Amino acid sequence: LLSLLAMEEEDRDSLEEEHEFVPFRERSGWEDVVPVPQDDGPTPVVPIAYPPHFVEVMDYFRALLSKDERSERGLALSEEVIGLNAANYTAWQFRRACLYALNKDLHEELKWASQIGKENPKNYQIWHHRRALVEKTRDPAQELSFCAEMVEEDSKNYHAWSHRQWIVKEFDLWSGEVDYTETLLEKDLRNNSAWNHRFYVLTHQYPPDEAVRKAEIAFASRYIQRAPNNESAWNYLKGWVRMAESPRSYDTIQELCNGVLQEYPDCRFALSVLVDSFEGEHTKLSLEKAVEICTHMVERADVMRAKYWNHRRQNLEEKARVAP
Amino acid sequence: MEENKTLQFYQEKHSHYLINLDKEQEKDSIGYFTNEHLRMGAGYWCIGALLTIKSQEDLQREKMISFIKSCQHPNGGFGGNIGHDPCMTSTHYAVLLLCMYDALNEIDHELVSSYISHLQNKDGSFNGDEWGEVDIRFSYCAVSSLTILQKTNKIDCEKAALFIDQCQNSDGGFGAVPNAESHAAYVFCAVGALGILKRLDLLERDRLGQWLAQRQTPSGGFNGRPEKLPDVCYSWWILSSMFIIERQNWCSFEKLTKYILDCQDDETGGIGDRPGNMSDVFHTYFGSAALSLMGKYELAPIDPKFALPVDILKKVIP
Repeated sequence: LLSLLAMEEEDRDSLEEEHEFVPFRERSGWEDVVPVPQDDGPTPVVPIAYPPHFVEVMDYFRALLSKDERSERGLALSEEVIGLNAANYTAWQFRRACLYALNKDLHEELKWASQIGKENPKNYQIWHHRRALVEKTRDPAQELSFCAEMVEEDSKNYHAWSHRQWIVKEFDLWSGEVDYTETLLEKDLRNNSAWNHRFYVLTHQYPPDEAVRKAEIAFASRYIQRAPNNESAWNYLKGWVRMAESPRSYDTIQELCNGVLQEYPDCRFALSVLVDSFEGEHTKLSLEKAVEICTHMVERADVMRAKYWNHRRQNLEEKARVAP
Repeated sequence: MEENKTLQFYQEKHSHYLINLDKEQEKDSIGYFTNEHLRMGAGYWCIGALLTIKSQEDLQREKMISFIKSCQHPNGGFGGNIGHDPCMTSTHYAVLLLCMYDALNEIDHELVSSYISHLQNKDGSFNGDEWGEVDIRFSYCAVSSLTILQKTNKIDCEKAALFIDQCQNSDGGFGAVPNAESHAAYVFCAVGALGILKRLDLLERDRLGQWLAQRQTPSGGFNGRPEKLPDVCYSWWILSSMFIIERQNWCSFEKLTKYILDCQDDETGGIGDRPGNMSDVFHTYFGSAALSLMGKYELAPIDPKFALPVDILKKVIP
C-alpha cells in the first residue's frame, strides 16, 4: 500500500534529470505571477534539500492555488507538478478543477492519464482521477483495456482490480470477464486477485445455480491438481463449498482432497477443506473424522497454527458428541 | 547483515535512526520530496516509533505542534503538509499526533469533527476528501478520530458499521470497498473501526481469525493476501486485528518476532519491509508496534484499535 516510500533507482534517476527545465522567468505568459515560497516557519521541523527546479515549480503552483486560478497555464502547471510528484493529491484536485472549468475533452484527458498511470502503477490518485473522469463521461471504452495493461505489469495491482470491478458493475460489462480471469490464471495460477475477480463476476451477475457451482469446483480442482500448495485456488474452492446445499455435494470435494492427499499427505489446504466438508456434512461419523484431521494438523501438517486447530477440534468434538 | 547474528532489538540504533531522519533524507532528498504530501503521516510514524521504543530523545513538541496547526484549513481538515489540500487520512494523522503530544486542546474539536462528519455518505461510507473517493480506510480514520475527539455523535455510527460489514467477504476478510479482494490492511481498518464502534458482533471471529492466521508464512512474517510475499507492516495490521478479536494465539509469536528482528538494519538502525531491505520510518513504527503487542523488549504498550500508546490513550478515553 505505501510502497512509494521505497523509491526505485530508475525513478530517482529520471527525477534528477532536468528535462530541459525552463525557468519561469524565461517563460512567456507568467510575468504577472508572484511565486509563493513554501513557508516551513523559522525553524523547519523536517527541512528538505529540494532540487532547485522543484522549488520553482512548487512556488508557482502555490501562487496559482492561492488565487484558485483555473486556467490553461494552471492545467499545464498541474501536469508539471504531477510529473515531479504523482502522489501530490492537491495537484490532481487542482487539475480536475481546471479541466472542468475549461470544459476540456475528458476522453483526451483519460489517454494522458493512462500514460501517467503506466509510469506510476501504485498511485491512488491516478486511479481516483480515472474514476472521477469516467463518472462524468459515462464512457468506459478505455477502461478495461487500461486495467488489463496495468495488470500485465503487476498482476495483483489492487487499484487496477478494484477499478475493473467498478467498471464491470457500473456499465454492465460482465461478458468476457470470466474468460479473462482464466487467461490470467493460465499465466499465473497463484494470482489471488484473478481468483477473487472470477468469484465476484460469477456471484454478482446472477445468483449462481448448482450447475455453476459444480463447474467452478471442477475448475478449481484442475488448478489444484497442477499445484496442490496454492492457497488461492483452495480459497476459491472453499468459497463454493460454503454454498453447498445437499450432503451429496460433499462427495466431489472429498474425492478431490483425498486425491491430493494420496500424493501429498500433509497438504494443509486439502486437510483444511476436508475438515470443512466433514463439518458441513454434520453426521457423527463425519465430525469424528474432522476431529482426527485436526489432530493431524496440530501434530504435523500445520504446527504453526496448532492453537487454531486445537480450538477447531474442541468445537468439532462438542458437535460430534451431540450429533445423531 | 550476517546470518548468525544474535537476534536482538536494536533500540538505541532505531532511536538514532528516527531522530536523524531529516538529516538522513538529505542524501535521499529526491526520494524524500516525493513523499512531502505524506509529511503528517511520517510525523505520526516517527513519533509513534519513538514513543514505542521509549526513546529518551527530545520530541520537538513546539515545532511539531506548530507544523501540525499550519496544515489545517479553514474547513477544519488537515493536509499532508503545508499548502496541501485537506483529506481524511492526513486529518486522522494530525489527530493522532496531537494526541501523542497531549495537545488535542490546541485545536477546535468542533471544527475538525465537522470536517470529518460532513464526509460521511448516506450509505454510511466515508469519502477521503471533497472529491468523493470511498474506501474503508476513511471509515477507520473517521471513527478513530471522532472517538478520540469525543464527537461520534456527529456521525451515523450504525450506518458506518453496516457499510463496513458490506466490505466483508465470504472468506471472513475485508476489502477496500464491497466485493474487493480481502486484504490485511483493510482488515485492520474494518476490525479496528468495528472494535471502536463496539460492533464486533458483525464479523465472524473464527473465520476471520483463520484467514488472518493463514497469512503467516514459513519465514514467520505475514503476507497481506494469499500467495503474496511477507512484509513487516502486516505484522501490525494482522496482529492487532487478531488481538482485537481475541485470536492472537492462533499465530506463532516466536516466528513473527524472529522475522521482524531480521528486518532490522543493524548498521543504520530502523526496520525495512523485508530482511536485507532499506529501513524506512513506516516499517520501523509498525515493526516496533507489533513487537510491543507481543510483549517483547519492554516496549511501551500500544492499543491495537487506535495504534496509539495505551498510557496516552487513557488520558483521552478514560
